[in-house]
Amino acid sequence: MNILLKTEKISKTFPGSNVIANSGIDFELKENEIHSIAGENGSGKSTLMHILSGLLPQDSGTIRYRGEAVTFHSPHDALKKGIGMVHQQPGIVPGFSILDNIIIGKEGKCFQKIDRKKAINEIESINRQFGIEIDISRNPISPESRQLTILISLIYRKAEVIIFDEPTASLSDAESQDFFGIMKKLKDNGKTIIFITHKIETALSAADRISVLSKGKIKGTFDTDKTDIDSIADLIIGSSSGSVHGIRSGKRNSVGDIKVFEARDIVPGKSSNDKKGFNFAVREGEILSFTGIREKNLDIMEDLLSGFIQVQSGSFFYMGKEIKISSTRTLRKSGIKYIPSDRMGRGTSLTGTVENNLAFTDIDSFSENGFIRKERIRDFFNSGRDSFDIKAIFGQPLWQLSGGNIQKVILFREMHKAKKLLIFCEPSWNLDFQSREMIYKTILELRNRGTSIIMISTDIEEIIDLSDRAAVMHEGKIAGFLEGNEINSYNIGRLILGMAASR
Amino acid sequence: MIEDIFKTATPYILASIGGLFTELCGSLNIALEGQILIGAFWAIVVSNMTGSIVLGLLAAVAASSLLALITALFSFRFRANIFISGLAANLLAYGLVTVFSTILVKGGGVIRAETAIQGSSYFFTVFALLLLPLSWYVINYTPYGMRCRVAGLSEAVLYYRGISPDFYRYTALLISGVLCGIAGASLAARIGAFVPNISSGRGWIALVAIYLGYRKPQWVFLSCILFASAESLANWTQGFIGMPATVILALPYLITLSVLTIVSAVRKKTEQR
Amino acid sequence: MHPQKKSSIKWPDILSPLITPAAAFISLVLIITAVSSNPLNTLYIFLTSPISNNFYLGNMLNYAGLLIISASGISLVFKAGMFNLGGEGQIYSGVFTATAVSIALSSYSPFLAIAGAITAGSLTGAAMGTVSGYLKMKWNTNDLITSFLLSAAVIHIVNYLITGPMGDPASYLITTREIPQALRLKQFLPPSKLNISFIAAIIIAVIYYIYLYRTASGLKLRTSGKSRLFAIYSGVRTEYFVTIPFLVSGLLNGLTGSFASLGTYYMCAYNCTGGVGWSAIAVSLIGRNHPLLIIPAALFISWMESGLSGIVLYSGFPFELSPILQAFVFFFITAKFFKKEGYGDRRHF
Repeated sequence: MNILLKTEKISKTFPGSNVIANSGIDFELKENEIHSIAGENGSGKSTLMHILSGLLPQDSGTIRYRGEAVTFHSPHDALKKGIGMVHQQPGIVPGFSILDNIIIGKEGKCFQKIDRKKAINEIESINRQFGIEIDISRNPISPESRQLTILISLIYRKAEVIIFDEPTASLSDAESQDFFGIMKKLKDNGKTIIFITHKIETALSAADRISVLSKGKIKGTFDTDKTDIDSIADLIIGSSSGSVHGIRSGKRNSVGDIKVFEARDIVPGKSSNDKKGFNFAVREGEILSFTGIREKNLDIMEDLLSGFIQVQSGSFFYMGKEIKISSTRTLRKSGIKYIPSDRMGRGTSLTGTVENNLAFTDIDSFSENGFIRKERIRDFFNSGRDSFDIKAIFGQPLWQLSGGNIQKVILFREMHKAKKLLIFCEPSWNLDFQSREMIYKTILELRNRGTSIIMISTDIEEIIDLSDRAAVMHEGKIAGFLEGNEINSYNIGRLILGMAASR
Repeated sequence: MIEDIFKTATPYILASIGGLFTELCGSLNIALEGQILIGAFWAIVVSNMTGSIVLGLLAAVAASSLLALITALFSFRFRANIFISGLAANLLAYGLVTVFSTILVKGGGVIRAETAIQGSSYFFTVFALLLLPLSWYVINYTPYGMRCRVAGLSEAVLYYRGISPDFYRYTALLISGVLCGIAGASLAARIGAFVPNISSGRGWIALVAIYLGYRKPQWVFLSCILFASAESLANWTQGFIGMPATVILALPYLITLSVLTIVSAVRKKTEQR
Repeated sequence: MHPQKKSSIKWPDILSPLITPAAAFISLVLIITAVSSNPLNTLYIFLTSPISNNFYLGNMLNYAGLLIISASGISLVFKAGMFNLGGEGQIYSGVFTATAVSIALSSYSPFLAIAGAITAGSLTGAAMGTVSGYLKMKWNTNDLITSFLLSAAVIHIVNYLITGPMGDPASYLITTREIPQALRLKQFLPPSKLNISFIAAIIIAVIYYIYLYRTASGLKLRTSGKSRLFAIYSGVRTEYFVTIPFLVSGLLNGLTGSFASLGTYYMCAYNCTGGVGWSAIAVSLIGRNHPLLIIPAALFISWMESGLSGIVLYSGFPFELSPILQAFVFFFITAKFFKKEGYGDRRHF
């Protein structure tokens, strides 16, 4: 196969930082292959892709596309050559339909009537060709529909190379399978694909070749059928650390009888006439997890537990007493910790400083008579920086931190003082191996010390590895509970699809 | 009565449809007031000088567009705070009108129209009525309108599609300049003179109408009609119950405030269901 | 992306706050040169007349004080993520109520009358602010519009009251009766109007600064304004930080009006506050809504207005040109001539 895209000694340093994001990268992309990029947070893979897609200019080095040296001043420039990128949480125009989101910029002449019929025909033929199932008259709200919107818009503009950044990070397993189906169709129809991922298994099974980045350099490019998960993991981490999911151990056989938190016949507000409510309890020192698809299942569970939606009927009990969860304030006052799945919206104030993001949820304990004690916040900041390896300086605005470090700020804030109960959504979202392992260890340590954890996650692997009991949701209800060895991908998969688990 | 309402509404409709474009682009345009003022002034002055109403109208449009361009230059090129540059534009309009009225018309103050400009006020009302379907079409069915809305909602998306939002911001402010110039001329035509402070808050009311109409041309239009009706009603009741003229002036604002409150309460209630 | 080093000096960072006043000043010099027969003298008068004698200095400071109080209120609502566009009416109604109450209480002790007048004036403004804040909290009614509409209506109502029922038939102006001598705030630098309100303004700005940046409640207010979802998630009762900032903002505007009545105008004349509310919004924005930056911003605006009246009086500068001059200063004052990367520029990453 021909070399379609090639970089020669690409380097990039961000102003104000002393870290070299890309240093002398030589990368080759063959025509019509699926090429996976793996590496830790901050290894420079996103930077490289941003350079290839025209979002960032390189400091030095050359990009060659079909043998010709090219310079991109914007993503639009790159797309004109045929290179487009689907970001992890792509920007869309709120309130616009998927159709309108796709055609912006290609609607026609300034004051001529937009020919929507023609556009619809064209888009529907694209969707048929690539096996994309989506109603383009709706608004793109879920992460999946946003990614598909951008993907269609790239194909609509005749993109040849499509770059995906962590395409499956915010998708459930079923949605991920759909996505890989689409990716296969893209390849069959002559497109070339690059995708960034944290999950080596996925990379190896879905890609033809894999390149590993570490500290801004390419460690190697391999055919996926000639390598294995351990050697790739070694390259990424830089040392042999054994199994990637070495955590799976220490399942609790017996847990205490004390019910720390219980839901009885909880029916969410605004729901249909269906009066069958949620019933579950989490006992002391137990990890109870919820899994399933996010929309209308896990999101409702999360919002119920955190007071973002009100209950219509039923009651919650915490430490034997009934509590009304009318807002997250109830949780805060009862000492229940909560890590939201919407990390950037609910979980942080991006324009605020790092230390205020750490202290804010419990600001009254950092104050005396209403006045903030800055030295207490500084101590807290220092302990977070040291124990969770948060790379930040005091006083820095949060948005300047890398995605992984923003994660750690939230995780440290909620986990360090968790006593009785922690509600933890999507634990490993946007984290690399090492950070992920650290989080898993911390979760287990917390549990072993007697903290109960309600985990809500679409990542089936971590559900299997970590939970003592798992509740699987289907069509807005709990389809079934699994315990101990019953928690496996076969059973979870069947319950998610609405079938009975085999015991 | 109906005729009176539409005539009263004409400058509001013209200015708020103009302001609607800037609002859609995401710029809070408080300079409508000054644009109307400067338009009214030049409409009377130039039509008096040349004897041509058309030339007067053109001068009004030119002056108020120039003011809009200066505002745009500072707001977008030099990224000044748009509220402050809007205040500056209003001050500039006021200052320029004062200066030119002392230079061109000895004595300043009220300038009576020496042409039959008053007879042209029907034209302005018809134009304002035609503007509703036109703006509705442009905003919803043309690439220009669509991109204006995108410029206000998500600049990043425009960037990815290789479109500069600045083009739409500049042109939208220019549209508001043109329409406010006409609005000013229509106001002067109705009165048959230029009086100092002729705009007397109409630019602000136009801005209120944009918000009250939730940035949709048809609702913005209705909001203008609502305010004009309140104004007409207030004048009408004055004759009947003998309420003092000064307190009547407060009524349109209070009525609009009540409507806005009711609309938002109803919206909130329906959202909760 | 990565922790930043603090050490590296960037010239644009240092120059950009300086270059905009410089540009504003140069445009000012250009206009003065173009119009004035003796530009150097005019410029000299523009710059020095505000401090040339006690009268001008005192009045300049007094006006700056009023701007500081009002701008603090405006900025508080900005910090809470909303917009109080009703300053003008809140101040005007404050002037009216304080004047009316002080006259009504003039038979009691001066202390009682003054305290009553200030309380009443402030509460009038607070009531107006509360309406906007409450509607925003309850039904999410657009705060910018409600505050403006209410203010515009109240201005007409006050105008009605001072023309009719509360007017002074003896005066050739449209105004209330004058406040008795005994109830007027003591002048520090006679014959200027400078009085206790300037000191109050500085204290208010400092207290406001401490509140905003040193207290937990201030941080909650700022976070509610910037990242509402995060504030709700953190257990903050965000609804408090909608109504209360508006209440306090109205209160401070009402207080501005009360001080203006008792210390500056000594009556409530037709359109006496004309433009103070707008200038206060400008002051707040020029000072980037920061409690302490509001002080120099207010002094700057006050100095400029005083200098303008100085050149009109003493150098034959045509008074019609002063709003044009002021307009150019406003155009330049928040303009940016260097590109600096901020959060907004990177949001699409």
